[in-house]
Amino acid sequence: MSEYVLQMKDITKRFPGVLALDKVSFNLKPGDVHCLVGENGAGKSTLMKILAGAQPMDSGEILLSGEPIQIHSPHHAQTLGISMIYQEFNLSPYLSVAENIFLGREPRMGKTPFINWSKMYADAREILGRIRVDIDVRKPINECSVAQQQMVEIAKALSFQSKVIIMDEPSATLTEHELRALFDLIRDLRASGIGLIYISHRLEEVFEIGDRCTVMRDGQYIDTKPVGELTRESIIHMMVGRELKDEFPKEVFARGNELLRVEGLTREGAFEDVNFAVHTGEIVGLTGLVGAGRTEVARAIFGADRFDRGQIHLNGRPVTVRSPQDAIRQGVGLLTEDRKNQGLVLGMSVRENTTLANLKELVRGLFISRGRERSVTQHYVDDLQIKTPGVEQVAQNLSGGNQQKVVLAKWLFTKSRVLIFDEPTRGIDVGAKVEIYKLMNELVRQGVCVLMISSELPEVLGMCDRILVMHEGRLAGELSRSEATQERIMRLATGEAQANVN
Amino acid sequence: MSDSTKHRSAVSATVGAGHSARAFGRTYGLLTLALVIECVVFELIARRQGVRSFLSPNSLMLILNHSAVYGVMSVGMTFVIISGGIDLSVGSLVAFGGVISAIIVRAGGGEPAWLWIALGWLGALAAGAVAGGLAGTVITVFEIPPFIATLALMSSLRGLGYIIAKGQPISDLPSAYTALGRDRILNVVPISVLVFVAVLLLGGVLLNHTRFGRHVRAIGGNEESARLSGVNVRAVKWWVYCMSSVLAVVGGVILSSKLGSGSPKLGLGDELGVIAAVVVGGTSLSGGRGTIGGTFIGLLIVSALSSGLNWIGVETFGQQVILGLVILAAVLLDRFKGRSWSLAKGR
Repeated sequence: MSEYVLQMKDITKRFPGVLALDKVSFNLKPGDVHCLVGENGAGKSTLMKILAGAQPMDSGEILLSGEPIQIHSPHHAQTLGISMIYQEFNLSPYLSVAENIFLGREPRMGKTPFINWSKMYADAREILGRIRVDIDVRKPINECSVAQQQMVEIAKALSFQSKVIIMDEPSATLTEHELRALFDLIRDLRASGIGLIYISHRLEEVFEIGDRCTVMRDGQYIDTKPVGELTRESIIHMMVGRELKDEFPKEVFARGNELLRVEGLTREGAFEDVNFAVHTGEIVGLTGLVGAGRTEVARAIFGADRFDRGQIHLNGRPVTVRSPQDAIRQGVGLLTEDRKNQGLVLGMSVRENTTLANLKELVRGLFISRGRERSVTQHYVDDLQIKTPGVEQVAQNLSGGNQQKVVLAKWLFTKSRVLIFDEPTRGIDVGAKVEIYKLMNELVRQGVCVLMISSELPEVLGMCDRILVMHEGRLAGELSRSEATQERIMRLATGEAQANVN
Repeated sequence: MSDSTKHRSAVSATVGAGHSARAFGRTYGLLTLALVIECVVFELIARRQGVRSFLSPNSLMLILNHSAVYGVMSVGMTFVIISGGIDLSVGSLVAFGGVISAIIVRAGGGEPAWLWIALGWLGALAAGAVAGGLAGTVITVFEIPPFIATLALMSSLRGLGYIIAKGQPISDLPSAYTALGRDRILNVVPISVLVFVAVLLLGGVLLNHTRFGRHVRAIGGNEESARLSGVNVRAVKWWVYCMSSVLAVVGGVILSSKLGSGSPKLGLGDELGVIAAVVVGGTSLSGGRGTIGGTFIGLLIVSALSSGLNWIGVETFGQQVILGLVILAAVLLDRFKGRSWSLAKGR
């Protein structure tokens, strides 16, 4: 019997023009939470997709419990005992929890084609009970919360008697409370001898839940170490391959005029009586737990959703914002948290995405001036150092960090004076994060004011001049850069403390 | 500095030219090849059978002439499909437009003929605009799926056409009425082909070189991103349906002019033929992707198919079977092309 439940040896995978994996090896012990970290494009996802049967490898060897195996398809991987829980779940929204768990393997009445519903529900309840999750097994998936859906995915993995479970960024969409529950469950699974592979961009989680950590970079295996022997700095160093001097390159500027003020902003059921102002020269953070109403406030200011009461002032004047068009005309831009579905038209080129919000600037007579459009886009590509083969590249093919820069270019081209960043660095690797922060500094230097919504407290503490904390739809308090600590923010965000606003 | 700028712009111009040639090949290469192969096959069969040559200037003009009605309609449909929608009402609008135009001309009683013909056409276009505006309003304001909204319109307009025409074709029109459909400039180019080509060119310019066209593609690619980029999604969609309806009526007017009458029976099932031409031309039914040039070639492929099959003596039922297979083949080809592209995308 091998000491490892899973061994991947010299895995190589080549895509046209790129060596995605270069002889990567990866070993997993049973009962271990093994974190896999690396920047975007390091090859983590490719390696895991090969393991989960979603992609074939070019060469290499995979051993499961010491036996060499060939993985033909995702379903084959599952029957072998390898399950992957993707960031975007593979669940069918209108089927029930139980139907999803047993999709394709429904228990039947003897040899008839009819489903044995009572057995299916009982089995589903039994599995969910094993992970101490209390969900009605008849409930349709689309009525379950994101956290519940994740639990259903885990239950499904367990129903396959999985020996290896891969979790790809499981924490990205969970609230703090849900994350605690997930970690408890992971500890249970670990105790039962399952090997877990945990992919995350949040290094705090590596230290909290991980036993061992493997770092990848540019398609290569860098190192594997017990988490206890690592520090945040040493992991980042291995990930980027160089010393990252300053994770948060904050520059402080003199505070100038008030550009944006909201008074008494209210939408029933979402947020209530929100008051704050943002000035030139500052980055204001808006934080709180997921569901506290931060994004809703931002979308209301931008005219993307309506609000019931309250007044928005821009540049000292009250304004009416009924649609994104109104907001853009007034110089407000919103970088949405979901770049792919709300920020970009993925099938369009970098050029078309950059100019989409301000085409009228490029129209000569009746027609768009293609030449000017190209040169404008090239200007932003150079200025923001967007890594793309050219302005005609389709946005879909760029990395997350570069996609975010294209969204930023779009708002810069509209000459926005107020920029709202909603989770600007979610899913972006460490190196690109620093670039985004530096661009924020540059914007503030040029007189733009920045409102940054973020759940990542290190980022909020590192980059913001003032921090507004929301709790259940209300502003729970405001902290200055000097007085803010992770603990004080959390106390406000969880409603333990109330501070005076303004 | 100026030197290097000049150098760079020269380089980018060359790169741009190479790029557009490649882009042309990528977009239209397969389609053009398919069209050429199709024509050559018909020519070879025609020669073996000893019938007249298929590939003569005359027969090609005939194909174009044949395509004029579908062609005008397919430009509007291309916009609708690129925006992520569908318009099922165009077939009924062909009949409706023809009936309205004919009934106005007949009501005028003749003198002066050109005035009443102009009024008839304008009346038909106005009726088309109202119908399209209605569809656009239902789709954008009440957020009814385009499939349902235009299905309802398709049924109602068909019925309305019959009611207005009292179930009979409206004939006894002044002879000048047929000028649009039958006359040829310099005895060579049919006027209807000129209208078709003009609509095609205008459509291409509108799609590729104006804000409106860009907004249509952005909406089809990702409606929410477009809205959050300040695109007035409702207005753009409204205009798209209005335009499609007006162009369908133009098609109806041309057809009624060719026939010298307005009949409520015309255009039955045309929506499917037009959608087929657009889809064969590489426009994606899921929206965001498509070209007017592709639609043009798709249309020629479909028209040449029916002309060619007629030429070599395949009867109507056989033609329908083969058209179905061609549509399927075209979409499979497109899917295959998409697949290889997404594999090449890498990690």
